[in-house]
Amino acid sequence: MTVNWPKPNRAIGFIEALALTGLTGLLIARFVPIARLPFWGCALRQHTGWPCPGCGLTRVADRIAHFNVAGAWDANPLGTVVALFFVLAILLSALHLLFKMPLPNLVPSQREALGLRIAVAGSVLVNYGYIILKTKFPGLL
Amino acid sequence: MPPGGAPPPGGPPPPRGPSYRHDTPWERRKELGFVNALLETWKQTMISPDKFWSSVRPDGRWEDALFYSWVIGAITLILTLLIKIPLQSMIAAQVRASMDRLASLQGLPPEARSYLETFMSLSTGLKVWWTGLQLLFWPIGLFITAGLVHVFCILFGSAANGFWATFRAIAYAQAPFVFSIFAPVPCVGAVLLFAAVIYYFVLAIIGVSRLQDSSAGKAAAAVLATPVLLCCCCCGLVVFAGGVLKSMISGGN
Repeated sequence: MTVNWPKPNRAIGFIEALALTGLTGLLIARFVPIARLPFWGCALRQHTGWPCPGCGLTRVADRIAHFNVAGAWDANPLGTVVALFFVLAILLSALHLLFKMPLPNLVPSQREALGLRIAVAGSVLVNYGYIILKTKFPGLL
Repeated sequence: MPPGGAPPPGGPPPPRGPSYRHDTPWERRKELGFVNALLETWKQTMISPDKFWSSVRPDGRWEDALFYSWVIGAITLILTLLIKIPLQSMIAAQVRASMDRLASLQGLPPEARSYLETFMSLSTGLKVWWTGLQLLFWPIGLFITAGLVHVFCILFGSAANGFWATFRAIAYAQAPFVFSIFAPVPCVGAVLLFAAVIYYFVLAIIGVSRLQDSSAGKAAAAVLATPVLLCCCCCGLVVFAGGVLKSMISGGN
Protein backbone atom coordinates (compact mmCIF):
# COMPACT_ATOMS: atom_id res chain seq x y z
CA MET A 1 0.00 0.00 0.00
CA THR A 2 1.47 3.34 -1.05
CA VAL A 3 0.41 6.31 1.03
CA ASN A 4 0.92 9.83 -0.34
CA TRP A 5 0.38 12.80 1.93
CA PRO A 6 -0.38 16.00 0.01
CA LYS A 7 0.30 19.46 1.40
CA PRO A 8 -2.49 21.06 3.48
CA ASN A 9 -5.25 22.05 1.08
CA ARG A 10 -8.98 22.51 0.64
CA ALA A 11 -9.25 20.84 -2.77
CA ILE A 12 -12.47 18.89 -3.11
CA GLY A 13 -12.47 15.31 -4.36
CA PHE A 14 -13.82 11.83 -3.85
CA ILE A 15 -14.10 12.03 -0.05
CA GLU A 16 -16.17 15.20 -0.36
CA ALA A 17 -18.48 13.48 -2.86
CA LEU A 18 -18.92 10.60 -0.42
CA ALA A 19 -19.47 13.05 2.43
CA LEU A 20 -22.13 14.88 0.42
CA THR A 21 -23.82 11.57 -0.39
CA GLY A 22 -23.77 10.51 3.26
CA LEU A 23 -24.91 13.88 4.53
CA THR A 24 -27.83 14.02 2.09
CA GLY A 25 -28.91 10.48 2.94
CA LEU A 26 -28.63 10.97 6.68
CA LEU A 27 -30.45 14.32 6.62
CA ILE A 28 -33.32 12.75 4.67
CA ALA A 29 -33.37 9.79 7.05
CA ARG A 30 -33.35 12.16 10.02
CA PHE A 31 -36.11 14.51 8.93
CA VAL A 32 -38.26 12.58 6.44
CA PRO A 33 -40.13 9.57 7.87
CA ILE A 34 -39.55 7.50 4.73
CA ALA A 35 -40.34 4.13 6.29
CA ARG A 36 -43.70 5.46 7.45
CA LEU A 37 -44.81 6.44 3.96
CA PRO A 38 -47.91 4.35 3.22
CA PHE A 39 -46.62 2.79 0.02
CA TRP A 40 -43.09 2.15 1.26
CA GLY A 41 -42.04 -1.47 1.42
CA CYS A 42 -40.14 -4.21 -0.31
CA ALA A 43 -42.15 -5.75 -3.13
CA LEU A 44 -39.77 -8.71 -3.39
CA ARG A 45 -40.23 -9.60 0.26
CA GLN A 46 -43.99 -8.99 0.15
CA HIS A 47 -44.44 -11.28 -2.84
CA THR A 48 -41.85 -14.00 -2.20
CA GLY A 49 -41.21 -13.80 1.52
CA TRP A 50 -37.46 -13.67 0.82
CA PRO A 51 -35.39 -10.58 1.58
CA CYS A 52 -33.07 -8.92 -0.92
CA PRO A 53 -29.40 -8.20 -0.02
CA GLY A 54 -30.34 -4.59 0.72
CA CYS A 55 -33.08 -5.50 3.18
CA GLY A 56 -32.98 -3.14 6.15
CA LEU A 57 -30.95 -0.35 4.53
CA THR A 58 -33.74 2.22 5.01
CA ARG A 59 -33.90 1.26 8.69
CA VAL A 60 -30.09 1.50 8.91
CA ALA A 61 -30.14 5.06 7.56
CA ASP A 62 -33.03 5.99 9.86
CA ARG A 63 -31.37 4.53 12.96
CA ILE A 64 -27.87 5.87 12.25
CA ALA A 65 -29.41 9.31 11.71
CA HIS A 66 -30.95 8.94 15.18
CA PHE A 67 -27.65 7.71 16.70
CA ASN A 68 -29.03 4.19 17.25
CA VAL A 69 -26.05 2.13 16.05
CA ALA A 70 -27.14 -1.07 17.78
CA GLY A 71 -30.57 -0.88 16.14
CA ALA A 72 -28.95 -0.24 12.77
CA TRP A 73 -26.64 -3.25 13.24
CA ASP A 74 -29.68 -5.38 13.99
CA ALA A 75 -31.33 -4.28 10.70
CA ASN A 76 -28.32 -4.85 8.42
CA PRO A 77 -24.75 -5.24 9.76
CA LEU A 78 -22.90 -4.48 6.52
CA GLY A 79 -25.21 -1.55 5.81
CA THR A 80 -24.29 -0.19 9.26
CA VAL A 81 -20.57 -0.46 8.48
CA VAL A 82 -21.12 1.38 5.18
CA ALA A 83 -23.23 4.05 6.90
CA LEU A 84 -20.48 4.55 9.49
CA PHE A 85 -17.95 4.93 6.65
CA PHE A 86 -20.17 7.68 5.26
CA VAL A 87 -20.19 9.34 8.71
CA LEU A 88 -16.38 9.07 8.76
CA ALA A 89 -16.27 10.66 5.29
CA ILE A 90 -18.41 13.55 6.57
CA LEU A 91 -16.08 14.13 9.53
CA LEU A 92 -12.90 13.89 7.43
CA SER A 93 -14.36 16.14 4.78
CA ALA A 94 -15.35 18.75 7.37
CA LEU A 95 -11.83 18.72 8.86
CA HIS A 96 -10.34 18.90 5.36
CA LEU A 97 -12.48 21.83 4.24
CA LEU A 98 -12.39 23.75 7.52
CA PHE A 99 -8.79 23.23 8.63
CA LYS A 100 -7.05 22.24 5.37
CA MET A 101 -6.31 18.83 6.88
CA PRO A 102 -4.53 16.81 4.18
CA LEU A 103 -6.23 13.56 3.23
CA PRO A 104 -3.86 10.73 2.32
CA ASN A 105 -3.98 9.24 -1.14
CA LEU A 106 -4.01 5.46 -0.68
CA VAL A 107 -2.84 3.35 -3.60
CA PRO A 108 -3.10 -0.39 -2.89
CA SER A 109 -0.96 -2.88 -4.75
CA GLN A 110 -2.71 -5.19 -7.23
CA ARG A 111 -2.62 -8.01 -4.69
CA GLU A 112 -4.10 -5.80 -1.96
CA ALA A 113 -6.78 -4.50 -4.31
CA LEU A 114 -7.75 -8.05 -5.21
CA GLY A 115 -7.82 -9.00 -1.53
CA LEU A 116 -10.04 -6.00 -0.81
CA ARG A 117 -12.48 -6.97 -3.57
CA ILE A 118 -12.64 -10.55 -2.32
CA ALA A 119 -13.24 -9.27 1.23
CA VAL A 120 -16.06 -6.98 0.03
CA ALA A 121 -17.70 -9.77 -1.99
CA GLY A 122 -17.35 -12.15 0.96
CA SER A 123 -18.85 -9.57 3.34
CA VAL A 124 -21.84 -9.08 1.03
CA LEU A 125 -22.45 -12.83 0.90
CA VAL A 126 -22.05 -13.34 4.67
CA ASN A 127 -24.30 -10.35 5.34
CA TYR A 128 -26.97 -11.68 2.97
CA GLY A 129 -26.76 -15.06 4.63
CA TYR A 130 -27.30 -13.41 8.02
CA ILE A 131 -30.31 -11.45 6.68
CA ILE A 132 -31.86 -14.60 5.23
CA LEU A 133 -31.35 -16.47 8.49
CA LYS A 134 -32.80 -13.59 10.49
CA THR A 135 -35.82 -13.21 8.22
CA LYS A 136 -36.64 -16.80 7.30
CA PHE A 137 -35.16 -18.84 10.15
CA PRO A 138 -35.01 -16.54 13.19
CA GLY A 139 -34.97 -19.56 15.51
CA LEU A 140 -31.50 -20.49 14.29
CA LEU A 141 -29.95 -17.26 15.54
CA MET B 1 -1.80 12.40 -37.16
CA PRO B 2 -0.70 15.31 -35.01
CA PRO B 3 -1.10 14.93 -31.26
CA GLY B 4 -4.51 16.09 -30.19
CA GLY B 5 -5.97 15.64 -33.66
CA ALA B 6 -9.24 13.86 -34.32
CA PRO B 7 -9.18 10.16 -35.15
CA PRO B 8 -9.51 9.35 -38.87
CA PRO B 9 -13.09 8.91 -40.11
CA GLY B 10 -14.18 5.32 -40.71
CA GLY B 11 -11.79 2.41 -40.37
CA PRO B 12 -10.93 0.83 -37.05
CA PRO B 13 -12.11 2.38 -33.78
CA PRO B 14 -9.86 5.11 -32.47
CA PRO B 15 -7.09 3.86 -30.22
CA ARG B 16 -7.10 5.01 -26.63
CA GLY B 17 -4.35 7.13 -25.25
CA PRO B 18 -3.41 10.66 -24.44
CA SER B 19 -2.41 11.55 -28.01
CA TYR B 20 -6.04 11.45 -29.15
CA ARG B 21 -7.38 13.32 -26.17
CA HIS B 22 -8.09 16.99 -26.26
CA ASP B 23 -10.50 19.55 -24.86
CA THR B 24 -14.17 18.95 -25.68
CA PRO B 25 -15.95 21.62 -27.76
CA TRP B 26 -17.57 22.78 -24.52
CA GLU B 27 -14.14 23.29 -22.96
CA ARG B 28 -13.24 25.44 -26.00
CA ARG B 29 -16.38 27.55 -25.70
CA LYS B 30 -14.39 30.79 -25.54
CA GLU B 31 -13.06 29.98 -28.98
CA LEU B 32 -16.25 28.43 -30.47
CA GLY B 33 -18.89 30.50 -28.72
CA PHE B 34 -21.22 29.35 -25.94
CA VAL B 35 -24.12 28.06 -28.04
CA ASN B 36 -21.97 26.43 -30.72
CA ALA B 37 -19.83 24.70 -28.11
CA LEU B 38 -22.90 23.45 -26.26
CA LEU B 39 -24.58 22.16 -29.42
CA GLU B 40 -21.40 20.58 -30.77
CA THR B 41 -20.67 18.77 -27.48
CA TRP B 42 -24.28 17.59 -27.21
CA LYS B 43 -24.28 16.42 -30.84
CA GLN B 44 -21.00 14.54 -30.50
CA THR B 45 -22.13 12.88 -27.26
CA MET B 46 -25.44 11.78 -28.74
CA ILE B 47 -24.45 10.84 -32.29
CA SER B 48 -20.87 9.56 -32.07
CA PRO B 49 -20.33 8.66 -28.42
CA ASP B 50 -17.44 6.27 -29.03
CA LYS B 51 -15.46 8.88 -30.94
CA PHE B 52 -16.40 11.57 -28.42
CA TRP B 53 -15.41 9.63 -25.31
CA SER B 54 -12.15 8.48 -26.88
CA SER B 55 -11.21 12.12 -27.33
CA VAL B 56 -12.18 13.39 -23.84
CA ARG B 57 -9.32 14.03 -21.46
CA PRO B 58 -9.79 12.27 -18.11
CA ASP B 59 -7.73 14.96 -16.39
CA GLY B 60 -9.65 17.91 -17.83
CA ARG B 61 -11.31 20.54 -15.65
CA TRP B 62 -14.19 19.08 -13.65
CA GLU B 63 -15.73 22.54 -13.34
CA ASP B 64 -16.33 22.61 -17.11
CA ALA B 65 -18.06 19.23 -17.01
CA LEU B 66 -20.18 20.36 -14.07
CA PHE B 67 -21.14 23.57 -15.87
CA TYR B 68 -22.10 21.63 -19.02
CA SER B 69 -24.26 19.26 -17.02
CA TRP B 70 -25.88 22.17 -15.21
CA VAL B 71 -26.68 23.94 -18.46
CA ILE B 72 -28.21 20.72 -19.83
CA GLY B 73 -30.16 20.42 -16.58
CA ALA B 74 -31.37 24.02 -16.77
CA ILE B 75 -32.53 23.62 -20.37
CA THR B 76 -34.29 20.36 -19.53
CA LEU B 77 -36.02 21.60 -16.39
CA ILE B 78 -37.14 24.94 -17.82
CA LEU B 79 -38.48 23.44 -21.06
CA THR B 80 -40.20 20.68 -19.09
CA LEU B 81 -41.89 23.33 -16.98
CA LEU B 82 -42.99 25.24 -20.08
CA ILE B 83 -44.48 22.07 -21.57
CA LYS B 84 -46.01 20.96 -18.28
CA ILE B 85 -47.97 24.13 -17.52
CA PRO B 86 -50.38 23.99 -20.50
CA LEU B 87 -50.82 20.24 -20.01
CA GLN B 88 -51.45 20.61 -16.28
CA SER B 89 -55.19 20.01 -16.31
CA MET B 90 -54.87 17.03 -18.67
CA ILE B 91 -52.14 15.45 -16.51
CA ALA B 92 -54.20 15.98 -13.36
CA ALA B 93 -57.22 14.32 -14.99
CA GLN B 94 -55.05 11.44 -16.12
CA VAL B 95 -53.53 10.98 -12.67
CA ARG B 96 -57.01 10.98 -11.13
CA ALA B 97 -58.11 8.32 -13.63
CA SER B 98 -55.03 6.26 -12.78
CA MET B 99 -55.68 6.68 -9.06
CA ASP B 100 -59.26 5.49 -9.50
CA ARG B 101 -58.08 2.49 -11.46
CA LEU B 102 -55.42 1.61 -8.88
CA ALA B 103 -57.85 2.12 -6.01
CA SER B 104 -60.41 -0.11 -7.74
CA LEU B 105 -57.75 -2.82 -7.94
CA GLN B 106 -57.12 -2.30 -4.21
CA GLY B 107 -53.50 -1.66 -5.04
CA LEU B 108 -53.27 1.83 -3.64
CA PRO B 109 -53.82 2.82 -0.03
CA PRO B 110 -55.94 5.96 0.41
CA GLU B 111 -53.05 7.82 2.10
CA ALA B 112 -50.84 7.20 -0.92
CA ARG B 113 -53.60 8.45 -3.19
CA SER B 114 -53.86 11.62 -1.15
CA TYR B 115 -50.07 12.21 -1.23
CA LEU B 116 -49.90 11.68 -4.98
CA GLU B 117 -52.90 13.81 -5.80
CA THR B 118 -51.47 16.67 -3.75
CA PHE B 119 -48.08 16.35 -5.47
CA MET B 120 -49.46 16.03 -8.97
CA SER B 121 -51.88 18.92 -8.66
CA LEU B 122 -49.28 21.52 -7.63
CA SER B 123 -50.13 25.04 -8.67
CA THR B 124 -48.06 26.75 -11.36
CA GLY B 125 -46.26 28.83 -8.73
CA LEU B 126 -45.29 25.74 -6.80
CA LYS B 127 -44.20 24.03 -10.02
CA VAL B 128 -41.87 26.97 -10.75
CA TRP B 129 -40.53 26.81 -7.21
CA TRP B 130 -40.03 23.04 -7.49
CA THR B 131 -38.18 23.49 -10.79
CA GLY B 132 -35.90 26.09 -9.18
CA LEU B 133 -35.19 23.72 -6.33
CA GLN B 134 -34.36 20.89 -8.74
CA LEU B 135 -32.03 23.20 -10.63
CA LEU B 136 -30.31 24.19 -7.41
CA PHE B 137 -29.82 20.58 -6.37
CA TRP B 138 -28.72 19.36 -9.83
CA PRO B 139 -24.95 19.69 -9.08
CA ILE B 140 -25.40 17.99 -5.71
CA GLY B 141 -27.14 15.10 -7.46
CA LEU B 142 -24.28 14.94 -9.95
CA PHE B 143 -21.67 14.76 -7.16
CA ILE B 144 -23.67 12.05 -5.38
CA THR B 145 -24.10 9.98 -8.56
CA ALA B 146 -20.42 10.32 -9.49
CA GLY B 147 -19.38 9.46 -5.92
CA LEU B 148 -21.48 6.30 -5.85
CA VAL B 149 -20.39 5.23 -9.33
CA HIS B 150 -16.74 5.81 -8.38
CA VAL B 151 -17.11 3.61 -5.28
CA PHE B 152 -18.10 0.78 -7.61
CA CYS B 153 -15.36 1.77 -10.08
CA ILE B 154 -12.87 1.19 -7.25
CA LEU B 155 -14.50 -2.12 -6.32
CA PHE B 156 -14.55 -3.37 -9.90
CA GLY B 157 -11.03 -2.13 -10.68
CA SER B 158 -11.90 0.59 -13.16
CA ALA B 159 -10.70 3.69 -11.33
CA ALA B 160 -7.24 4.13 -12.84
CA ASN B 161 -7.64 7.84 -13.56
CA GLY B 162 -9.26 8.89 -10.30
CA PHE B 163 -12.54 10.37 -9.19
CA TRP B 164 -12.65 13.35 -11.52
CA ALA B 165 -12.49 11.11 -14.60
CA THR B 166 -15.64 9.34 -13.36
CA PHE B 167 -17.21 12.70 -12.57
CA ARG B 168 -16.50 14.02 -16.08
CA ALA B 169 -17.93 10.84 -17.62
CA ILE B 170 -21.15 11.13 -15.60
CA ALA B 171 -21.46 14.87 -16.27
CA TYR B 172 -21.04 14.65 -20.04
CA ALA B 173 -23.36 11.61 -20.13
CA GLN B 174 -26.31 13.77 -19.03
CA ALA B 175 -26.96 14.83 -22.65
CA PRO B 176 -29.93 12.47 -23.34
CA PHE B 177 -31.91 13.97 -20.47
CA VAL B 178 -32.83 16.82 -22.80
CA PHE B 179 -35.42 14.41 -24.25
CA SER B 180 -37.09 14.18 -20.86
CA ILE B 181 -38.63 17.60 -21.60
CA PHE B 182 -41.36 15.58 -23.32
CA ALA B 183 -42.01 13.56 -20.17
CA PRO B 184 -45.29 15.40 -19.39
CA VAL B 185 -46.71 14.52 -22.83
CA PRO B 186 -49.05 11.56 -22.40
CA CYS B 187 -47.89 8.16 -23.70
CA VAL B 188 -44.96 9.42 -25.79
CA GLY B 189 -43.42 11.20 -22.79
CA ALA B 190 -42.99 8.06 -20.71
CA VAL B 191 -41.40 6.22 -23.63
CA LEU B 192 -39.00 9.08 -24.38
CA LEU B 193 -38.07 9.41 -20.72
CA PHE B 194 -37.37 5.69 -20.54
CA ALA B 195 -35.26 5.87 -23.72
CA ALA B 196 -33.34 8.88 -22.33
CA VAL B 197 -32.53 7.03 -19.11
CA ILE B 198 -31.37 3.94 -21.01
CA TYR B 199 -29.20 6.03 -23.36
CA TYR B 200 -27.76 7.87 -20.34
CA PHE B 201 -26.62 4.52 -18.95
CA VAL B 202 -25.12 3.58 -22.33
CA LEU B 203 -23.21 6.87 -22.50
CA ALA B 204 -22.08 6.61 -18.88
CA ILE B 205 -20.77 3.08 -19.44
CA ILE B 206 -18.82 4.09 -22.58
CA GLY B 207 -17.62 7.24 -20.80
CA VAL B 208 -16.38 5.46 -17.69
CA SER B 209 -14.79 2.76 -19.83
CA ARG B 210 -12.88 5.30 -21.95
CA LEU B 211 -11.99 7.84 -19.26
CA GLN B 212 -10.89 5.20 -16.77
CA ASP B 213 -9.10 3.13 -19.44
CA SER B 214 -10.98 0.03 -18.36
CA SER B 215 -13.00 -2.69 -20.06
CA ALA B 216 -16.63 -2.13 -20.98
CA GLY B 217 -17.67 -4.96 -18.67
CA LYS B 218 -16.07 -3.40 -15.60
CA ALA B 219 -17.48 0.01 -16.51
CA ALA B 220 -20.95 -1.47 -17.00
CA ALA B 221 -20.77 -3.20 -13.64
CA ALA B 222 -19.69 0.03 -11.94
CA VAL B 223 -22.36 2.19 -13.58
CA LEU B 224 -25.22 -0.30 -13.20
CA ALA B 225 -24.41 -1.28 -9.61
CA THR B 226 -25.76 2.05 -8.32
CA PRO B 227 -29.30 1.67 -9.73
CA VAL B 228 -29.30 -1.97 -8.61
CA LEU B 229 -28.41 -0.84 -5.08
CA LEU B 230 -31.06 1.87 -5.19
CA CYS B 231 -33.53 -0.74 -6.43
CA CYS B 232 -32.76 -2.77 -3.32
CA CYS B 233 -33.21 0.27 -1.08
CA CYS B 234 -36.27 1.64 -2.81
CA CYS B 235 -37.85 -1.53 -4.15
CA GLY B 236 -41.33 -0.60 -3.00
CA LEU B 237 -41.11 2.88 -4.45
CA VAL B 238 -39.84 1.63 -7.80
CA VAL B 239 -42.58 -1.00 -8.09
CA PHE B 240 -45.16 1.54 -7.01
CA ALA B 241 -43.93 4.11 -9.55
CA GLY B 242 -43.88 1.39 -12.21
CA GLY B 243 -47.50 0.53 -11.40
CA VAL B 244 -48.57 4.14 -11.68
CA LEU B 245 -46.67 4.54 -14.96
CA LYS B 246 -48.19 1.38 -16.38
CA SER B 247 -51.61 2.53 -15.37
CA MET B 248 -51.05 5.96 -16.91
CA ILE B 249 -49.98 4.38 -20.19
CA SER B 250 -52.60 1.68 -20.43
CA GLY B 251 -55.56 2.86 -18.45
CA GLY B 252 -55.32 6.59 -18.30
CA ASN B 253 -56.17 7.15 -21.93
